[in-house]
Amino acid sequence: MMLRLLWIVLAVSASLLALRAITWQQDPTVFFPTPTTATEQRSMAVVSERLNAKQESEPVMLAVTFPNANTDADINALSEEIKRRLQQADPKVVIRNQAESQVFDTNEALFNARYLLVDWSSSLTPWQDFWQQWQWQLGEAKTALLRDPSQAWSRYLVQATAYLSRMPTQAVWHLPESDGVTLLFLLTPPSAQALPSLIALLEQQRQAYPQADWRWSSAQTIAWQTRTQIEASMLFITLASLGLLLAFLGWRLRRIAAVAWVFIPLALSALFSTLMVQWLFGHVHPLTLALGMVLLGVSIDYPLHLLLNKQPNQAWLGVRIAILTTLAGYLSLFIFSAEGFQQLAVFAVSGFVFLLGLFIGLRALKWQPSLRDYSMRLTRPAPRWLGLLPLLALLALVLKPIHWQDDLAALSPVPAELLAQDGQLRSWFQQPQVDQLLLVSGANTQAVLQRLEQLTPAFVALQAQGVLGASLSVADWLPSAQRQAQRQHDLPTRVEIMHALETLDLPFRASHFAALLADLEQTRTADILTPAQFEPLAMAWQQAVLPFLLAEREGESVARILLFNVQDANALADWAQNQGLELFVQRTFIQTQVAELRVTLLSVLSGMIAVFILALALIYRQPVVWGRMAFSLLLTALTTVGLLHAFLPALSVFHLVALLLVMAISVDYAVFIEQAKRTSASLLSVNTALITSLLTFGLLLFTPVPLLEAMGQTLVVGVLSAYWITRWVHRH
Amino acid sequence: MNPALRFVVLLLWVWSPLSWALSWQTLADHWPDWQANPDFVELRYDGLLDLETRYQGRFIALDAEGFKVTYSTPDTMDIERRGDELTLRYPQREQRISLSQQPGLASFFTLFEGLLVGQFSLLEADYKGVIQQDGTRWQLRWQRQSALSNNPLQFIIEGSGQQPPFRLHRVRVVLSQGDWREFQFSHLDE
Repeated sequence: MMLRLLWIVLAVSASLLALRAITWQQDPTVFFPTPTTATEQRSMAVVSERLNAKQESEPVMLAVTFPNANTDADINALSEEIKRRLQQADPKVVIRNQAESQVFDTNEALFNARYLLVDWSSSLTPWQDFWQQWQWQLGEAKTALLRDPSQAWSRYLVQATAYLSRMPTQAVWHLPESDGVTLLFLLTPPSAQALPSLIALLEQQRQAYPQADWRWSSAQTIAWQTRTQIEASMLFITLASLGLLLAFLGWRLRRIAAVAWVFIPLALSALFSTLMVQWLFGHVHPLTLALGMVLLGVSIDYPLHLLLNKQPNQAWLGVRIAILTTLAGYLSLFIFSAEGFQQLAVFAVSGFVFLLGLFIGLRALKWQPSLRDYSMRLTRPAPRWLGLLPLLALLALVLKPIHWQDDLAALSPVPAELLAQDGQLRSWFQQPQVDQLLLVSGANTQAVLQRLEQLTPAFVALQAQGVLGASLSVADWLPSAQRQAQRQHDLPTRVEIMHALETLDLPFRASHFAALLADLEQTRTADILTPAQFEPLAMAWQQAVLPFLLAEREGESVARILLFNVQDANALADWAQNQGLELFVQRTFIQTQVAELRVTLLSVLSGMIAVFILALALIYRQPVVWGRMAFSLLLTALTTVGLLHAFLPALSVFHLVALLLVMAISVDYAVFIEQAKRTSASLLSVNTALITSLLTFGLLLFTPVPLLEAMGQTLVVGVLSAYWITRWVHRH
Repeated sequence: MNPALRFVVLLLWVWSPLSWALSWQTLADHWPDWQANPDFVELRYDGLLDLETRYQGRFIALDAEGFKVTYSTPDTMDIERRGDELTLRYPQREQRISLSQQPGLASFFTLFEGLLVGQFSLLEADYKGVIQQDGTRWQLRWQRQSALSNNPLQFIIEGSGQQPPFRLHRVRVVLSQGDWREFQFSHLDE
């Protein structure tokens, strides 16, 4: 006994140690179908890059509304008060609530390239304008004006930050409101890990300062709040179902060793599967683990069948058939080309291979706790009227067309108010739309830059028409090589400059413009700036966004145009179509991907059922027997889908994922009930397995997370259907 | 106190030099009226070019919304401030500047308007003011306190009158790099 325990402890400890080496993969797009068209690839790249970028620390938008404040003195005092409150506690966040104009003045490298970045002058009378400006300049600003008389640098900065034109630029960012004032702050936590502490700090301030209305948001805070909600829900469900399961099995099996014998194979197979995925793929996606555990969940039935059967050899035969059939069915998951589902297939298949090996080993070692002798419990035949259930389900499917909910946002547990608040804050803070952008692709970066330059006037028109607030593309920061070369050619010479000054009779000498003339000469012979040369020269706030704005991939260049405050999405879509541009709408794109995924899942499900039937035919050979089992499988699938369809407004991919497990459970029930029928044994093990399944999956019905709820609905309806339909089929 | 003695003390006070000294409050209360839209001559000295230029124009008060300065010589030009917006009108073009986007310029105009309307509290945060009196002439000198500020180094206002009505003769704005501007008024009083 001690030796057995030692082995188990050693095996579990070794697996847990190995788990420390797991690399968790974060990109959920690995579960999407592999993009087949160039458009899909570009859109998928956007989703993937955005989701990965979310791992980095990003500023949290904070808006605090004070109903009774309105004077400048109030605003400044309240701003200082909030900053003090936020800075006195951990985490040490960087707080911004005013324009940082000094950022613009410190980039000498880009300043030197100013006459490549914008035209030498925006006016037909540059020197007249210069003289008028000169008379307005105060002190040191005049030296700067002599070096840049056409104010090219300031024009470049205005152009580069045009998307922020509505951002408040007063000393303190604020929005005047009819009854008070709203102060705006951007809070950057020291790391993404510090985000929970920052949210806790903000909650604390909201409690301590109830006279103000505190609102905050960022993609990370929403993700964190959602994750926290899911984790809390999952923790409750896990603990509650574990407690119920232990209580039930403890009552049924009456021995701790037996209860452990039921759980340990499942836990070990899960550990083994996780390590296999890590070994083969180099990382594990958390969703693989979650969905894999659902698929592996059926394996809890096997030890129960072995323990609660009076005929061990028959039971072992049944378990072997069930494991092999399920294993064969799960092999159909390899149909998916998406890496996420490949991981899931490896997880499920390796788990079942491990289980088979484990049970073979346990039987060889005779490591099986003995239970008290169960008396033969006769089970009454299933009632005849159960045959009506598949008919009713079929009727529902015929009468009412299936509505598929492919919009993941609709299944998101994020409250609509939270999303609305995020939209409001994004509008105030001039943040780009997260849900849509425009894509411009071309053979190379220069082709893309030229296309963007052609589009610039159209964007101005769209803004004037109120279709959108602003846009930002790489062309706002870096002109095409062609345009830069033209600018080099158009630069004025020393002679031309002095002639213009003399013509206007302005009191300047050539020596006043020594720095300008040197800059012009240097620009005339400078290398044209390519994106690769521009990036290291760019300002930090440009460098942060540039890789997203212009991407090189698979022999093409793709520019992403960020959109701000889109007011008329339909007009924008029409315009994009007329211009031949790709309008990426994240929600629509994901919806399309999920629809594709659903079709593939339906194929997998059909394939899995076909494999189950084939395996049963090979094992049982007698057409009456495997035909009966196949019939129960098909009726279970029909009844489950029909009943869910009859009572739910829509079905989703999560119902289909759970249906994979229902089918595996249904095969097991068919095998065990067939065996019980042949050997006149009781259905104690199947009944016990049914109750454990209901205790585990039934609690999913009470979660606020829609995707878990969908899986709970399918599993409860499916497991009950599988049990009763199989029994009904076998009564004949 | 005996009423007769009180009368004597009052007489002594009225005739004493202390009673002749100007106070900030008196000046502020009886500050020259800009609603009269005074003409002015502006001298600008450009240190970098070592050039002095003479301009002529008129201040026009725009109620509570702001003010307008119209130059007539050597070139015609208007500068108009209404709320947050500054408009520069040249003969052939117009330039609008949002002062909320130009904090430096906004600060300068706030200070200058403080001087125009005698609202000295607008200057007190950054400038230290001194009154000097010489007979009927007086001078207010506002010296910038912070070395980091980009605002003018000094505002010097010269006027006359020992008691209201006061007359304002010139406002000199001393800038960095040796630049200065001086507004001379021929007739500006309460």
